[in-house]
Amino acid sequence: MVRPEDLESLVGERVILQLSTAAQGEPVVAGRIVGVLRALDGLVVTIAPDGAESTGHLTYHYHYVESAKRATPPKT
Amino acid sequence: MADAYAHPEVLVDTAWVAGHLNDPQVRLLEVDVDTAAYDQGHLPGAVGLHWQRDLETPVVRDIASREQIDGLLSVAGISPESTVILYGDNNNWFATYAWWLLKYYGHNDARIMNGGRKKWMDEGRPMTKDVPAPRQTAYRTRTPDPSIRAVRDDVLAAARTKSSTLVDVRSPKEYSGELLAPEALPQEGAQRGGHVPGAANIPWAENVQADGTFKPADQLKALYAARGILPDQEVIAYCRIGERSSIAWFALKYLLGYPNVKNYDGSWTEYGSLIGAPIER
Repeated sequence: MVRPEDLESLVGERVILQLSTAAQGEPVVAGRIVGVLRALDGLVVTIAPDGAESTGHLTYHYHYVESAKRATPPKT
Repeated sequence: MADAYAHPEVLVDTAWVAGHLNDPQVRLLEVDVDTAAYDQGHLPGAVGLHWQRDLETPVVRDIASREQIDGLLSVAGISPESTVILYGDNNNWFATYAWWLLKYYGHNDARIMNGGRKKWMDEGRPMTKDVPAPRQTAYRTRTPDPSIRAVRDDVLAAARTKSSTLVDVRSPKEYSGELLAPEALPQEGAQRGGHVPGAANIPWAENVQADGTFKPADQLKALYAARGILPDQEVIAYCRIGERSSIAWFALKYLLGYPNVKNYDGSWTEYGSLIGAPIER
């Protein structure tokens, strides 16, 4: 599992998130981290998935994130 | 065009509040998880509420009584006709809880400042340490509305007969039973870890955007529909003590307009200590 500070350091970057099986949706999400929210029950990351930059932001509690890796921009 | 909220009037943005700081019709209430936050600075004119002292009964575990709320709102200079704006830290955890309580006791015009205290501060808006002294009123609450409050038996029935759909808004490790409380807090409050059988885990923060404001209606709708939480169901939201779940309750009932949504204020600290209650991990 990633640490909250790892995700914070990736704000603004394109990443590939590997999610736990308990998370809703696809197990791997690629896109840009648009921000994080720190709360008493843990950090939450908001990602704009590739192809849905302005509309379909997804939010994951960091407990769901097994790994987060910087990625190169998608080919257009 | 994006879907509109079912009840957009229940949310105001920080700019609206900034423009109404001197409006005598508008009363501001701040309620924080960190009970020292108000004294460190608050919105001009805001009255501070203490979630333990003001929103609960002092001896028996229960929400604040009608008499307590009458007194609290009277001292805060609030009348039944006032527009009450609630905000707080931690993304309005206790502001929406207090909002739920005001609705339970029938206050008509209550609104949440979208994004809460943090957004106001991030925008560099004015803060003060001055404590206001509003002119006292003689507030009288209305008959409580039990349709928005779930109690233990409602949740036990849901666990056993699936009479309601359950939304557990705690963090994934609280839901799985690895933690008994938010990771930043002492691990106490319930005898057992886990969740109510059948509950969907939708952490409260999935209702909000990175800046702390609520997600647009279409994204909220998609979030809940994807987990099988639909408007034709009776829905019960819970967390550990009922404050985080009030955010999901607010989003489901007022932003999406689901007709039957209850907040379970007993939440995991009650359910997780019940003898014989079914638990899933």
